[in-house]
Amino acid sequence: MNTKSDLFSWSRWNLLVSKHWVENRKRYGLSLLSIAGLLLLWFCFLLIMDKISSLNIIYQYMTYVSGLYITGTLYASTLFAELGSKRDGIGFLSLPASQLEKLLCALLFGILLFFLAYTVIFYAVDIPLVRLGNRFIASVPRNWPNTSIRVPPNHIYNAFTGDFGPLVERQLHLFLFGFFTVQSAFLLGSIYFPRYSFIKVVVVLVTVFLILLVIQNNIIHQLLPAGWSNDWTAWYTRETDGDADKVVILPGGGERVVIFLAQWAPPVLLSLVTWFRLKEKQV
Amino acid sequence: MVTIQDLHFSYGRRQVFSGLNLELKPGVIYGLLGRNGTGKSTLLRNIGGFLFPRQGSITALGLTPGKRQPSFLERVYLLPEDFQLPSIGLQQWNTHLAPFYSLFDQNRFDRYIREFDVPPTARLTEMSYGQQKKVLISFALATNAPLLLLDEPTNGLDIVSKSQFRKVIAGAIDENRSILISTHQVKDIEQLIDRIMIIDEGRIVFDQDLETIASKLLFKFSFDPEEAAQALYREASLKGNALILRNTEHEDSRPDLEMLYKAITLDPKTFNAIFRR
Repeated sequence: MNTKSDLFSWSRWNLLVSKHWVENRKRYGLSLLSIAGLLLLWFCFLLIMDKISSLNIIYQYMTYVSGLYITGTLYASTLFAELGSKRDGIGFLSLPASQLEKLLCALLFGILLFFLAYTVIFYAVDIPLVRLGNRFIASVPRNWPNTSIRVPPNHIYNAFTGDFGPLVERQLHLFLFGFFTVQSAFLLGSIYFPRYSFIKVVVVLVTVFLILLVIQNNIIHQLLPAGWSNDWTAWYTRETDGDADKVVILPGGGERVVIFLAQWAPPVLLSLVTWFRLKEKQV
Repeated sequence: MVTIQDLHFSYGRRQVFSGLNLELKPGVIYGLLGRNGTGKSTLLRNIGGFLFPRQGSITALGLTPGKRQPSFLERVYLLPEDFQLPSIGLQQWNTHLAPFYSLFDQNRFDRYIREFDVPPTARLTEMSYGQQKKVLISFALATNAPLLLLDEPTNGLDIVSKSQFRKVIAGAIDENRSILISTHQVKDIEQLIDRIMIIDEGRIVFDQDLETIASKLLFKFSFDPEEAAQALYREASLKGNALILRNTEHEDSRPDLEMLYKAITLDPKTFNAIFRR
């Protein structure tokens, strides 16, 4: 008998990752090729349809984020799908690796590697096509409609800094961090719901979001003193100081902590719940 | 090796076990017999740690199966009746799975694969159900797991393979290993098992080794109506009445497990009373 830890063994985890890759690489390769094909098709469509700025930053941003979320969640909802049937579930659970190792393997492929692979594929399609679009712009200079302002060449959208993207992405990386939370939720959902897990998790997430919206707008707002407004991360009011208005924010420096936790805590908490759920799963 | 005490288990409101007790010892091949839906597979999955008791306890190899620790999983191998293998080659599958089992014997695996006549270069998903099953049986035995739980292992095997199965299982048992075979195809394992356990309505209604059965019961064919009248159980056949009688004269006979199974499920009390003496 070996002397490896029953909780986590690096060598066993490597074996698990290697096994997962060997058994799924063909499917993964084909899926990534399909994603690349769809992105190429979509960008070509945009190049043909938008005669002015072709692949501008908003198109790139929207494509990156929606593609990441749609394909990522579809993939995450299949990662523990084998636990939905007795036939496949026994094979998965009987493999001599700890539940933590199995979870970390799923997180590696479902969150980290998928994110990296998708991003690489996105840029493999995005960069050449944005350059192609810029050539069109350079070869046939044009103005914005009803103005004399020249349409500039497009920048490449930077998913990590959010440069040139919408404000929420530049300041908070809302959708970038949100992806890890949503992906963790779909991973958990693939254990919780043996059937139709994708649809069920979508319903749960939308419901949770609506409940938070109601709490935010109808409950917390009512509790605040007159003149105070509330944001998702802080409460604020405007005070007049002489001639100038100043904004007072509570909890002040704590807002950074709240934002940090909102960005990092949900995936960790959801993964923890997934681990417990995996341990108590029966097939 | 395995101790089950007061096991209660249910699927929702459907009670499967209510107070089941069982002990498995090393060096023994057990045959677990029972009708469809009586809980044979459920019992195996409880021992394997895939289902958790509602009440009572299970200890296997000194560990609690439900914790599914790797050190437990590599020493208990459950061959399920229904399974799914990945779409990769046999050798590749073996290369990536075998290292999880520290006692795995590669030579033994290769030998079983040859004995079962499984094409070694084929993709697993291109194999027939029977061939896939033979791959899993070979793998299960090569893991050298001290506890093997085989759920309907002969389902899908052809006549020759069933014979090979009996041969390899008989050769694989030793004093450190226990094999529990759940089946409703009694004839397939009749010459293989050391001990028979019959499960009915969530309880083990009969649990005896074949030697004791042969010493207490006599299995014979007879045209004698008087003998038939004394039988504990009888079935009409072309060779006369197939009978189960009390073995008062200590005669030799080979237990017919199928007949014994039918007899016990009809009247477990009578048979258990004989074995209690």
